[in-house]
Amino acid sequence: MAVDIDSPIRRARLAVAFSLERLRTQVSEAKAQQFPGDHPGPLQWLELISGLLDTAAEYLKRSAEPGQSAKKEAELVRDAAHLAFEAYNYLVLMRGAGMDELPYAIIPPLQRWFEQLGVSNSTFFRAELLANYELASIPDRLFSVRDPSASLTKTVQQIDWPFLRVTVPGKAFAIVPHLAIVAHEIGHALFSKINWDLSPFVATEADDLFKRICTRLMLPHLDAGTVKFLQDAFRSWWEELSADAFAFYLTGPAIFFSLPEFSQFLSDGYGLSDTHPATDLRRSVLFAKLSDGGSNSFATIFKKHTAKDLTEDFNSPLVLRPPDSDQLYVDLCTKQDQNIAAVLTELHASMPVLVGLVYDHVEQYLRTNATESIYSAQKYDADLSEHLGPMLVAVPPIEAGPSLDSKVPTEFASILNVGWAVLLTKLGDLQVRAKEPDLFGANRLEVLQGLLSKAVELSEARRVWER
Amino acid sequence: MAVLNGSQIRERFNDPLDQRLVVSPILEPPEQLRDDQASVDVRLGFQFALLTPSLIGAVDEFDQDPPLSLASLYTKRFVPFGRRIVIHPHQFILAATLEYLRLPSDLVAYVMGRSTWGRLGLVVATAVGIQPSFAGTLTLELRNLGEAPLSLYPGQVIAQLFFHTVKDAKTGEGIGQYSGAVDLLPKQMSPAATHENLKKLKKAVEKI
Repeated sequence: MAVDIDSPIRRARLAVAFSLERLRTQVSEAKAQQFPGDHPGPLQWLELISGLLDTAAEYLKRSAEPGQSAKKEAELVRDAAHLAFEAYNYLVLMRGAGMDELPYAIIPPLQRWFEQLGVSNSTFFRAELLANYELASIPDRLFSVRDPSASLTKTVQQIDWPFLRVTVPGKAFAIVPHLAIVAHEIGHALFSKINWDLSPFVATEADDLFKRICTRLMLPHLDAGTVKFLQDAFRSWWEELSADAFAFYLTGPAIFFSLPEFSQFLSDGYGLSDTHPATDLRRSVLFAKLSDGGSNSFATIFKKHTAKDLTEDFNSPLVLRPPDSDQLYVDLCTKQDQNIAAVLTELHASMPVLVGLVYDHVEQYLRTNATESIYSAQKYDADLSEHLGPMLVAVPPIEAGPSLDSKVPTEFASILNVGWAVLLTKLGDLQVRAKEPDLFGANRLEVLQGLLSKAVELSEARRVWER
Repeated sequence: MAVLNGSQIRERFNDPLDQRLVVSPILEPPEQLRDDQASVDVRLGFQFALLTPSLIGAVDEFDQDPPLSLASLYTKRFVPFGRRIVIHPHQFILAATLEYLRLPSDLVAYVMGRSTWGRLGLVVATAVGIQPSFAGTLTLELRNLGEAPLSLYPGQVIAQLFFHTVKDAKTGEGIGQYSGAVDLLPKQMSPAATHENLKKLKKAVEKI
């Protein structure tokens, strides 16, 4: 085919065509790679990008058709360029989804959580060099373009929208016990599936909440902006607490040990913002749930196996407890607008009424829809009985069962909890050789991380083999 | 030093923790551990490492200061169930066993390639002895001495472990420290004291 670059618009078309070809090559190379867990999500995402590139290529072809007006020709070239830029941006969204960033074996257990809980959305996992766990929800409108190619239309129809992207920290911060936090992120995906009834909160607390904010601001009523901020903050906190509740029911103590520990290093204050309730509040609720049940509680079982009293700050001493409301308001006013400070202060005071409702709803949802996914105190007892001793002599929790012929693979939540029990209470008893010098036991932790990673890999191997 | 037979191996799986032998997971017990034999079959795992030596002159622990990182010589590959890695004639690769092994302080083990593979030219393991109190996955050194490329699939039975008792071994809680080795790449060529002495000797010779 002759190359026609005899006019500015034709040169522009060539530039876009060049971009599209390079993007096609990049997408093609990405498709050829192996993804962790052989998970289909990254390939589905790449198919969407291919569909966009096909659409852009069709725009370019149409721009070159005889009889096309100059205006239309320019419009089509520009639109093709925009699609190329979008495709490039969407490739960036999946950076870190490959085998170099994510260990192969951790994806299947995480995906199984999604499946057990009935989250059927198309999903991919990726790691980034950031201390962050996140669930992003990507709507189909991003791929709603004029005159889509047949390939884009077909792929969009095959996706279970919204597309979910789970982000975990990569490389040095990819720490196995912390993966309990992914259960929290899955909770975000389930928030809208629950049939919420917050009427008890509305009946007992809502009016009082408004009044307290007005009183604190010395206003007769709140302006529309403040009300909107209150509504948004309330919605965010409610969803965060719901996600915490899911993580609690899926992983038990593991989320109590991981989430506040992770948060304490990220926040220099109370962790309280328009998007998140105070870390101390979230931790208190988790601790109360672990202590619930008397002699059959998680806390009692923890003590039975580790001889340690579970305390609220057991693994998160740097979490700051917010002071009383008046002082909290003063503190927040040093960094925020006073309206925002007043809303956050009083919303914080209202949370005890909300948390019970939230946890009850989540528990009910799981008991109705995915009861087998609940990590119970009895299971915790069995896990520590079976695996804690062997872990101390370097036998990872790969499988459980009384005899060679009756072994079953260990559940992911069990591996996390056995790992935390060793990490927090038995690290000195772990009979492994660690490199010297061992900074506060960090090298010993590295061995533990290796054992837990191996447990995940080999329990999955047994599961796949049996399947 | 007696070799454990199949039923004795099975019994050692149920011993108290400090004396327990662990080979996990054994995916097909009737095939991998038979009472009429004296070994446990082990499978290819998922981790492989391919030597990529073209960027260095020679593997020489005294050639650089700090010493050459042996791990840098390899490219690691994770091959899941259902996929394969091909070992070509005269190629050398490292492969982890699928099974995690933990030896108590009174047992040593020897890893031997299966004869079927041997007849195809595949040599398994040069470091065949496994010390008491070893814990981890085994690293197999595979070399294809045959004429044909061989496809290797994770899960294939690749070798067998023989267990011997150690005479007068100390047993009991707190005996030994387990390595917990789950990475197949080598760490160092010589132990620290040996390395230092050899380095001094090399320098002394160079001054002559």
